[in-house]
Amino acid sequence: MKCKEFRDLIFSCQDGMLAPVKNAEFAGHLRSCPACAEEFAALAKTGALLAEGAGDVPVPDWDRSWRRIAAAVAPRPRRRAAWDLFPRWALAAAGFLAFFILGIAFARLQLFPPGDSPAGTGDPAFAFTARDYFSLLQPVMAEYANAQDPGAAAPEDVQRVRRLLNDLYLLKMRAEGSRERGLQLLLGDIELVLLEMVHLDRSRPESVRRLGALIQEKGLPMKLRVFNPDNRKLTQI
Amino acid sequence: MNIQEENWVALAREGDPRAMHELYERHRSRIFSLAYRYVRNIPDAEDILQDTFIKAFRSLKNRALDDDGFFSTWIYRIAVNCAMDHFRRRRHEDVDGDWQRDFLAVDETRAAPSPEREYQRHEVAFQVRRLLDGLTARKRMIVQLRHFQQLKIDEIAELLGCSQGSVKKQLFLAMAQLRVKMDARCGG
Repeated sequence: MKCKEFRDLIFSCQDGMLAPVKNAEFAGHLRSCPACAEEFAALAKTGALLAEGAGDVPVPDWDRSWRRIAAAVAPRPRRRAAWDLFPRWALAAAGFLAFFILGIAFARLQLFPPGDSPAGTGDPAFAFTARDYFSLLQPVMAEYANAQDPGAAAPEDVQRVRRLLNDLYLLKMRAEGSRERGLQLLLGDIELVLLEMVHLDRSRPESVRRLGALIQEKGLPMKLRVFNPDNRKLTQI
Repeated sequence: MNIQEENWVALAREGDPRAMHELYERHRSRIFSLAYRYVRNIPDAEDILQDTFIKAFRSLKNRALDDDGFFSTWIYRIAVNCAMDHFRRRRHEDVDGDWQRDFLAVDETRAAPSPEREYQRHEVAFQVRRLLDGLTARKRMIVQLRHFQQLKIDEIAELLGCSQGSVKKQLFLAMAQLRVKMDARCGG
């Protein structure tokens, strides 16, 4: 047996783990090698001193230690949170619904900003007024457009024309935000014609004819028919 | 692990305080002995004892029960690690006062020996403590498991989770270091 192997087996020998043959070899080397014998003796001496110095183990306060352990491992009562009252699927559904509603509201806001909504559009009161106004205006325009006789061409008194003009201004104010460019142009033409009517010199036949020509030029009888009270487009305004 | 202990472990896994207390009573002496001989003072040894059981009970839920005898080995391994961690933390603190007081505490529990014998025992224990103080936490633990707890090399290797060769090598180095110190003291 070599010294290195001997040293490898010292602890196994101390543990009584060597086979008899190996144990005999170990003992033989111990007798024949003074250095290994010295090493073995020194280890035994140190080990004996350590064992002697191990000392007794005092008795601690077992109960106090157990109380601390028990307190540390005891399950702590969990405070119930508000969301524990509802099942998770209900919370998820409510969250999804809220998200859906907010999404729709946001999309509506993006597609139809409040400023885009014209005063007349979708306003039943405005549509009703426009229908009434055009129904009043249509016969007047037709009468002037077809008037050839100056005497018969002044059926309307100035006061009535002024009232129509005033109503027109109100209508124009309401239609300012409208997307109907045709309606706005029509109202502009009507305004021009009514102003001519207010300032018309009814004693002069050529003035009356010129007004009739203006009405025809602007195409007001045709346009008023297009925007007549029964027309669906007007109802949508 | 015997059937009875297996049942206690199973109950402790479910948080049964009676089962935990039973396991504590079965293993407390062995663990406190290890802890006390390692740190050499009662308060620290009690801390190690408590830490060991708290860690064991808290992590017991995640352990499988199919390993025979696992609990005693497992909790002893926890105790070894707790003791080494504790020692590393407290290494530079002076615990001489605690040590002296603990020897007095031991004396009160034992039959009174002769004064000469008792003085000699104290002196040897004091010298051993001084010798062990120079070792690293791991070498100190290996020496203690070998010479105080009388464990075999394979048992120490299992507890520390390393090879037997590694344990032998470190034990040789530790013993050589102790011997040099002893010779120096004797020479002085």
